[in-house]
Amino acid sequence: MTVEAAVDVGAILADSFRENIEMMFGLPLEGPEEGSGDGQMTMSGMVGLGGPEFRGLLQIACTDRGARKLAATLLGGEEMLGDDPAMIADGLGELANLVGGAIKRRLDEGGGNIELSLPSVLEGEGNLLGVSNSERVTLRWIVDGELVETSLVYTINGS
Amino acid sequence: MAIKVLLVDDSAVMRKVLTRALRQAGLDVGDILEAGDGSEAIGVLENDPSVDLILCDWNMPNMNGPDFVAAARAKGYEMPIVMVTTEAGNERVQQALDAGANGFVTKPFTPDKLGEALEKILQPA
Repeated sequence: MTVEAAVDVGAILADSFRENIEMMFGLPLEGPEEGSGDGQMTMSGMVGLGGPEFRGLLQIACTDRGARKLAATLLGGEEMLGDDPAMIADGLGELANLVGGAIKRRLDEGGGNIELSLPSVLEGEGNLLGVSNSERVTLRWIVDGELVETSLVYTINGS
Repeated sequence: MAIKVLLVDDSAVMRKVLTRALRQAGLDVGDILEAGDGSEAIGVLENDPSVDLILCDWNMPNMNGPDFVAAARAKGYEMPIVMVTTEAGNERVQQALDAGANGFVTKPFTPDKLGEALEKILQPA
């Protein structure tokens, strides 16, 4: 991959997130803006992407309220969600899986040959763990009034 | 006649999304069985082989989608199996078809897209 491809990672992340929010969630979407915001994110869905040249970790972070809204939307409403925190985490993990899959698809079109990990969900304040010698792109969105941050930490060709 | 569907996905939320999408697509769906991975799905089939349609994810713990498809076919289960997954590359599609899947729906999907794909597979030959 070239330096130009590294710049395109932000566009790939944006397109992948937007596509899934629009098609699977149907929620109003504003953004993206680059960089982290001041919001205290309390839940993160994460998925790994690994290929011969590209290795990355996708994080989708939001507040508890944002995660609840996303899960409720997937399920068809608050009444379908109930009070099960596991379902809220599952919904955020599934969003990370969906967006990771869309990123994978786009990278594979350029010969990325990417494998996707199973998603995981972290709870607690704080941003993505740093990875040394890696690039990072963070995009902020407003999804139906809730702040959501999408971050992709990645290396290309082991650089 | 209402069809019995087995949903195989490690995400409980996605299984509910699929349940809702199947009904929104207008399919005549009766009982819906669920499994969190391929190994569990084999167990469900052994208990109730009268399933008419299986929707199956790709990446799952214990037994992934393609391995489940191959195992189900090896055990003689012949009902249609449709992969519903973020995996969309030509090689993956071919891998699933070679294992014995009947079709492929890429996530993200709309109920209409899911319904169109399933109607083609469920139509009598």
